[in-house]
Amino acid sequence: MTEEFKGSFEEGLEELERVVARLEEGDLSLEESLALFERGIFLARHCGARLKDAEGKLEKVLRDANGDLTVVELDTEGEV
Amino acid sequence: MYLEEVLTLQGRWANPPALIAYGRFLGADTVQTDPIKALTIGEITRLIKGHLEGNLYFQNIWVQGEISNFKHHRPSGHMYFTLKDDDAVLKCVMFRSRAATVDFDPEDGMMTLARGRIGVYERGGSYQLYVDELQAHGTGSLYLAFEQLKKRLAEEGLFEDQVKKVIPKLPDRVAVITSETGAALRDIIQVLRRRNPAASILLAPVAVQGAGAPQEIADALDNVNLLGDVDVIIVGRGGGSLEELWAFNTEVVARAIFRSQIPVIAGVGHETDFTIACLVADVRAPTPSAAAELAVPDTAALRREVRNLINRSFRAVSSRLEGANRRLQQLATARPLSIPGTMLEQRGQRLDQAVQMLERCFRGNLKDQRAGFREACGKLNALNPLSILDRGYSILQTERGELLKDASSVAVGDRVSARLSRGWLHCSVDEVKATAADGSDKGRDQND
Repeated sequence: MTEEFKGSFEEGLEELERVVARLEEGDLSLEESLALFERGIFLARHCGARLKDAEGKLEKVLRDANGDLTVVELDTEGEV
Repeated sequence: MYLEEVLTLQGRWANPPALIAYGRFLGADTVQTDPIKALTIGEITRLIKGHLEGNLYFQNIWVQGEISNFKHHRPSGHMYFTLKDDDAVLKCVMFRSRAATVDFDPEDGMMTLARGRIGVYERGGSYQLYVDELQAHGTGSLYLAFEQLKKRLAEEGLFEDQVKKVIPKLPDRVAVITSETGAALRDIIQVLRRRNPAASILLAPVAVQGAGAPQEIADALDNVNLLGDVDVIIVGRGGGSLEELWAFNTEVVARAIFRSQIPVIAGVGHETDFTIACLVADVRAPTPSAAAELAVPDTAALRREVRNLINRSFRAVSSRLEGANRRLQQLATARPLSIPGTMLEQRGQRLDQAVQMLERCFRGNLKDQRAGFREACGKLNALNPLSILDRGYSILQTERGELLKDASSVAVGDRVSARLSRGWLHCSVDEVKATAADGSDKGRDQND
């Protein structure tokens, strides 16, 4: 299962919630529950990947000499 | 000595129309040209007093105006203030017994409704309103402007719930529109970093008070929308006076928030400060820090949520597999299948291994779980003799429990049992058509 999940974090989480609810209903055939389980693992990995630990950027909107908008990156402390 | 006459009349007649008529008569006929007849200040003041206080219209009247120069004279308990609007001011006094009935703390700038009588204070040479009743009527012109704008925007539907946008659960990039030097920015960044360090922050610095502030805030909202690639906008500032927060009560800011394609969270001042911006925003936060908390989730909590969901699915699938295992064990020990049982026992053993593997997966880390689990599932599937029944096959056995593989081993009238995917059928044989080991029809038909 190497496909990319295209949806947002919450779409992934919502589908995972549905998968778990369906699994817990317990009226599935073995094949169905195993396929769903695989899907659940896939979704969990997708969601986990979105919850990365990397620190996001700190940026600032500026107007340049021409009056155009530009975005510059500040250092981590942001000088604020 | 018409002055005596007037004063006498005033005393004698409490009837103002008559007095007014008399005044008119005086005005028309007694133009005072003689300096000898000059009135003393006391006389003219009493005359004015008589005119004013004799007029019933002035004796019980409601006026509205903004309080200024408010003084509560503590020793006496009297209140002194003026009511004003753009055109004029009116001196007011409220004596202690009446002042005690005021149910709010009057302050300069408050819009009030006052009921009382107009009288003349001779020593001050002034007329004033002797107030009997005082009601708050907003807090002056700013408040009035606030109420009017609020009403107009509400009528246009800018505050409706159905036009509110939903804040994404896990924003990648948060724009912050506030003063670059304010404490609010520091608080917001701190909260964002703590809850979700991965979210990027885009600061759009603006003045949050002063004449230029409303336009700067509105432009920043438009600019962030123009730049795009932002999931949520926080707009706000720390606490301040009504005047300092005023930019967030302006129409230009309200409309810019409403126009934003990106969801906006407003966090202005303290909990008790309600601004128009808060009403138009998709979410209102009590403070700038609270706005930051609403903007991004606590990622630790989300991780726990995902982990919990995956644990639940493990448990669900494990119990499903254990159920299959039990059915397999029952089948293996059931009388008809126990005869060629050694093979099933072997299968049962391998199933146990598969379940163990599943349990290992359950305990192991997520990385290894999928491969190991898929292996376990594949094995289990291959093992489950019931999976063939699910596809519509059935197992036929004799009354003695022998598996039926050859039609010739039963005769017409014998009873047989069919094991289906779900349940059993007990049948009697109506006809037997035996087939040779090579597949050819033996032609043996006992019904002949």
